[in-house]
Amino acid sequence: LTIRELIESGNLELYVAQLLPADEAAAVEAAALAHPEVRAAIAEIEQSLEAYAQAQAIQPSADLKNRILEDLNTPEPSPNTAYPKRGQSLLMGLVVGLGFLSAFLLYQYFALQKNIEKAEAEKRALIDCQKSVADLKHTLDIIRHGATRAIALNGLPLAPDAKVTVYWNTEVYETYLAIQNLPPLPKGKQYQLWAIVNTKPVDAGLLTIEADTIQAMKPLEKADAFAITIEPEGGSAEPSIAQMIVLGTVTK
Amino acid sequence: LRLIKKGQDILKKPPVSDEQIIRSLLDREAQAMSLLYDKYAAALFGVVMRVVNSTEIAEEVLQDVFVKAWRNIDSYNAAKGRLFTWLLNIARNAAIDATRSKNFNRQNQSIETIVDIAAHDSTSPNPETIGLKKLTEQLPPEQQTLVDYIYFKGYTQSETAEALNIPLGTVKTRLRAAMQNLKSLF
Repeated sequence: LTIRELIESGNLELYVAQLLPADEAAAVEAAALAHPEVRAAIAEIEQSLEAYAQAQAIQPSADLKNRILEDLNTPEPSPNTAYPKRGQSLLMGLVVGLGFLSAFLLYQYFALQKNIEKAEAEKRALIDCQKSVADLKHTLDIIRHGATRAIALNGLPLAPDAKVTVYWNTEVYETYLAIQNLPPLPKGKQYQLWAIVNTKPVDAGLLTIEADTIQAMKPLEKADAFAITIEPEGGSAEPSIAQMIVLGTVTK
Repeated sequence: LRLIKKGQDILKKPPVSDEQIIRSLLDREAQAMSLLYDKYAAALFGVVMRVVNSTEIAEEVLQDVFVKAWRNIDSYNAAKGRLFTWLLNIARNAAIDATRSKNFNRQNQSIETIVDIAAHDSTSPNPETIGLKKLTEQLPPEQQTLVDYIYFKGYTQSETAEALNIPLGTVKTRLRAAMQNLKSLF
């Protein structure tokens, strides 16, 4: 096909109409690149077509131009977000969902934390309780022990109704004290237990308990008698004999 | 009187060159679309009207065409053809797509309708195109129809041959003759 034959074939007209098969269109493009006459012929067809279309132009509505310009000012949808509204609402849903989930988990966390604290307090209380039970069991064991002597301390003229029992083990030397009745103390005063060993008073410890309970006192190897005096808070090195409340002797 | 003179000056102001419009479009200048619209909207609207035959749909299509042009100006290659040819291809495809859409109410698009539209001057014409229009009317009706089918309505050669009831082999030669005729008119 010569250049002239190509120009006169009508293929250039079909090329401008995009009606040529791909291979023939490529051939036309190659020829246009190589030959100015082909380029000029195509340009003439395009110009004629443009002039023909302009000659038959129809004015669209006056406001169409503004509508188009406004349309272009709205953001272009990107192919990745083909359904932006749906995507956004999904995202919003996800965010709200995560928010609720976080709040729920946080609530659960604190509830759990509280439960753990409660459980640990209960565990500590239980351990204390077990220890108390063990102590009490030990106290009972000692009191029931064959070598334990129960010494009744009876009220003296200062408090005739006072009554205290001292349990003293002569093998392991442990000493316990149970109050049956003791008058209330003035402020700043404390009861102190004494053992009388060879007529000399030996400190056997301060009373820290209320009535109806048992308290462990200082261990004693020897004792002839027991007495309780009222002493200033914190106890004294020597008993205040005038303030003796109860007294009991250890029977041989 | 001065206002009328000014108005005439505006009407007569030389059209902006394609190169200027393309550069403006590529630079994303605000005035670019306005220039493109002023130069080609009416011509493209005329083409689209031939296909969809409804002002409402044609305006929707035209809107689509300009949006596509704005977004795809990067793909336009001046070495391969004129700006109008590129726009015409977009417009033709968009118009054909519109006729295939579900909402399109297929209307009778007989040759008479097309000739009607071609002859009908719907709005005040650009004074410069009055002369051109007369020249166009000198183109034999069968050649006008052929050019409409091939360039504006997107008919293939065989569809054109069938519609015009002419042998397939003669479509190309008749198209060539019609375009030569057009060239001599403008």
